[in-house]
Amino acid sequence: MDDQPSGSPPAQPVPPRAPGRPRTFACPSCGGTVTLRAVGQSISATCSQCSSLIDVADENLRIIEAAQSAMQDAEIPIGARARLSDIEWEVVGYMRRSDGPGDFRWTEYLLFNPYRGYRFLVEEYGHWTLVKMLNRDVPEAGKQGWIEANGRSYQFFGKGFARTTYVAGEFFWRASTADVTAVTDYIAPPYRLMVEKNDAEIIVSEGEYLDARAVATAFNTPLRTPSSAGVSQVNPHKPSLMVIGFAVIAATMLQLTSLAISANALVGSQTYQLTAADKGKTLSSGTFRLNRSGNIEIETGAYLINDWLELDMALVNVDTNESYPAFQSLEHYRGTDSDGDWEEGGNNGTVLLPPVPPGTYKLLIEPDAGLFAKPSSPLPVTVAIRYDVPIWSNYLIAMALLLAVPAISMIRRMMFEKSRWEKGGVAE
Amino acid sequence: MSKLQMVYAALVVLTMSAANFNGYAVTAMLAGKQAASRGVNAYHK
Repeated sequence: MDDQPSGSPPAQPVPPRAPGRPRTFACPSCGGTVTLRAVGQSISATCSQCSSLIDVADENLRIIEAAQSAMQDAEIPIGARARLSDIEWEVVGYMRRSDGPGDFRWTEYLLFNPYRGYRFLVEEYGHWTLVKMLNRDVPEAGKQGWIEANGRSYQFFGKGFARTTYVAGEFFWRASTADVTAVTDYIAPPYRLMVEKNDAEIIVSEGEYLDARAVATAFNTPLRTPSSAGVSQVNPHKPSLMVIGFAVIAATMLQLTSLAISANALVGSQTYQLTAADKGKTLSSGTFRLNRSGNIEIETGAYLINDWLELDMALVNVDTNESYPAFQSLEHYRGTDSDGDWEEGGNNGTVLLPPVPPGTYKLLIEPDAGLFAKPSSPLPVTVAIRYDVPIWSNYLIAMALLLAVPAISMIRRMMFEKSRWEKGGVAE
Repeated sequence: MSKLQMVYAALVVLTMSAANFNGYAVTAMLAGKQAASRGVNAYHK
């Protein structure tokens, strides 16, 4: 046999032996049939009838522990076989374990192969780990922080106590529900290092995370799907920046190109002295010629103090009389209250019209203003018309949409890690 | 995921460039009501 057993058993190597046939004997407690699958290696076994724990190494089949609590079924039954890591394993026993307070529970299945020894298949909240005992010494075992073991850098994960609350099947040590070990966990996903210590020994085991579907397929049995992060599960949310990075560069290049080829031409600018006499009148700009299709930006400015201005506008093609409506509202208020000076609104605004066809245009403006309702000095209102203006808002929206991808990926990654660290560790 | 990201990124960039080179602002299109038609526009219909 080339491997040693793992978990909380004694650390002595298991002697090699040829595969034997299962042996049965009568339970000294209830007379029920007890089957030994790892004959010659098992030290203890439970009766499948009364669940008493029997010392099978003792010729008198001493009862280690009388009938435990009610029989507990496992997701994978004793005797089930599966091929994991290219080795055929048989489940010979399982035990339920929990941390000190009992908040965190898991199941450890003992797997046996007559040529390869033992492994533990650990299930915790739907996550599976195949665990093997390390033969080599890990000097830093038990230390908090990062440690090196078996050629990997492990991060300290948690420490506490592991209690065995239920055992079934056979084991190569005298298993008991009285077993309590101090446990220190380290992770290097998909690997996990477990250091178990009791008064007699220190056992260091290394586990590798297994996909639940692979375990279910291997044992040909339905298993529950994990709903949260596993302790040694590889974080599936990798922020892949390459695609988004290329897209950001492409969008920036396209934006710069559109800036370079935009005419951004001022085709008309006029200042109107608005008075109360202009109420109900329609103001008109001069005509201007557009030689090709392009958008139109109307920029409005007025020096308003605690006043408002609304401009109902129409860009009119004088050849076809086609009109393109636009509306601009300005308001600017300021004052002082108990919180100090305040100000809201502004004196400038722009409105963008979608592309209009080539032609000769003029802008008609129908103003409405606060000054129409009160005696006031003339209000200068400037209206500037630009043609084929570059647009930044599209680029900014594109950047927001593109950068949202790595941002969401990063958030999901962080939430996964939070979930891992919340439930994986053994409570102190 | 990477393929989905590629399709998504391509859609975003193509939509942006199509809007830019044709002179449309997506924000203005989404707002839709920037050009409230009132008296002066009714007059010219």
